[in-house]
Amino acid sequence: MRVSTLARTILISMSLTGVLLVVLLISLLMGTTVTEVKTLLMQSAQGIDAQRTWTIILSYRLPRTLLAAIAGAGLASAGVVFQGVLKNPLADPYLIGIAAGGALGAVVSIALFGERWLLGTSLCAFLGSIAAVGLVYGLAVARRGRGYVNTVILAGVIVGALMNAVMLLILSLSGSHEKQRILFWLMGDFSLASYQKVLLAAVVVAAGWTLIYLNANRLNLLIVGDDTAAHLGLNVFRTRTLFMIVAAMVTGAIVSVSGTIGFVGLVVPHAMRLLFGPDNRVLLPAALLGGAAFLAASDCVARVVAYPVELPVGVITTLSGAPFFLYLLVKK
Amino acid sequence: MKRALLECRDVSFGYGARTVLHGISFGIGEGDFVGVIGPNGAGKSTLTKVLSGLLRPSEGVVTLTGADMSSFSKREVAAQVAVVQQEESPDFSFTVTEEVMMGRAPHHGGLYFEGPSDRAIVQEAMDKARVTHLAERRIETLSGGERQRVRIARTLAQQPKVLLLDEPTNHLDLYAQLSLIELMRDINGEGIAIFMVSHDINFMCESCAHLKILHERKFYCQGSPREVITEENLAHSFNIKALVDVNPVTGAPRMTPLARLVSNS
Repeated sequence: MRVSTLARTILISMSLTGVLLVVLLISLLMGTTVTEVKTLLMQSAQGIDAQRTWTIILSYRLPRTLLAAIAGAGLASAGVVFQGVLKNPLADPYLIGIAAGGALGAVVSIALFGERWLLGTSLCAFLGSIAAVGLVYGLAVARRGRGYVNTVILAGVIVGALMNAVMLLILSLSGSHEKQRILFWLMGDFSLASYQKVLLAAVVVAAGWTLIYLNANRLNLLIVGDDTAAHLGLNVFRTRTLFMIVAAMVTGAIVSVSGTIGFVGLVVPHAMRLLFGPDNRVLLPAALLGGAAFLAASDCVARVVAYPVELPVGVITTLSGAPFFLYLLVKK
Repeated sequence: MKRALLECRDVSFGYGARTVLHGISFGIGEGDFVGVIGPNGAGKSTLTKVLSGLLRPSEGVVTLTGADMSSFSKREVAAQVAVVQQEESPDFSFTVTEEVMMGRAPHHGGLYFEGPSDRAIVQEAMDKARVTHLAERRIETLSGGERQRVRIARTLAQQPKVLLLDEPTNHLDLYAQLSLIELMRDINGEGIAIFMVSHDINFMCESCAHLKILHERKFYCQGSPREVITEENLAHSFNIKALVDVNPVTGAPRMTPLARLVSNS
């Protein structure tokens, strides 16, 4: 007898939650010596060292680890949605210009205000992402009809390239200090994590993911095909628009707090699909938790592997994700 | 007269300025088995799309159990009318059970997990369509005939009153075609009305109780296969010279195409 989908969803979610908790714990303690951990566990908090360790963990590692986990969760979930809605296994949250728009917004903000106004960078990045998606979707709607999905992808690639060009133009005209900042931002960066950012990202990802999950069955229908979905009672155009808007908002919010981190939104959905099948009722929670674990782990590696130099997390995700993806491509 | 489940009243449809259907009126009643044949481009697929509510007629109305179809939500329509259409090829392949389970969508809201009754209905649909042995296989690993039966199982899981089929014999070998005829007779025998369009005339003669020829935007003639499939009618609507005789085993008319006619108009 087959295990029911509900039971499978719960089972998989619980196992991945376990994995995620282990990753989070490792990430929080990484860099802490065994003696320090013992001191913490013994509750002998009067020592100055314990105090210092707590401070490092709570005000530095915890917000950073949480932000990485939330970003991974959101990017992987948005990846599942974009791959389904665009019916393209190569789609990811950045394909349709969201990252390029966000990057342009952030670069404009960094060039104009420098680092003094951190929240401004996030805000401009978010606005840039949403503007890019709005432009792409507007183009697709203007050409509504057959070939809709291809129009979105093509328009996305073109809008993305355009924004990239403008962004590079600004980059080349900026001072060296700004350049450094921008480059870090482009490669994905959690070093400026704060509880403020954590809260912001958590709210958007939680709300967006919930809305998406409430429509998980509809996403299944969309994957089978537009006409089939319509014959099964789905309002195809409305549903797809909803998915695109929500997934774009989630992606935009993450890009705004963490920069553009590649490959998470592409590789994690594929890996989860390979493990658990294409049913979105199972896949969405799996991607949420798996994405969180993957990006938190990647950030942990980025932090410690070349200590004291910190690597951009995007380098780690791409270095570990690309070979896996190539393997998938060859195997299929 | 039987109550019409699905009815076209004076329906016209066009893509832009090009009229494809003009003034079509007919009904599909409980237990009917109606087929429409016609040459390529006669508007058979368009007629199916208008009947399923995918396209809205530019004139006239399509009614579902007596009420204008556009007054129903898409889900309400899907709970009564199911469509077996030509294949779409998804990039992410579900298992047969998952695919058939999607037929339950019109009977649920947003997020749902299938309950025991859904599972029972899906099991029955899979048994009827003879795909139970394929339950755990992925769609992409199946043959054309098997995929067709899976799609039919999915429509059965919808528990519709009317089943519409668009060119169901495309890409099917003879074994799969015979299996399809048998399956549709079973389905029809349980009271589900069937409406089917195809250009495969002999297949339609064997399966349908009632045939119509769609020609130049309207029905050229209609009736039992014996009344409709005559050499004159085929010459007029398909522009071919054909020999029509009777299948000695089934008694259905049988046609053999001989030559194309060169029209001078």
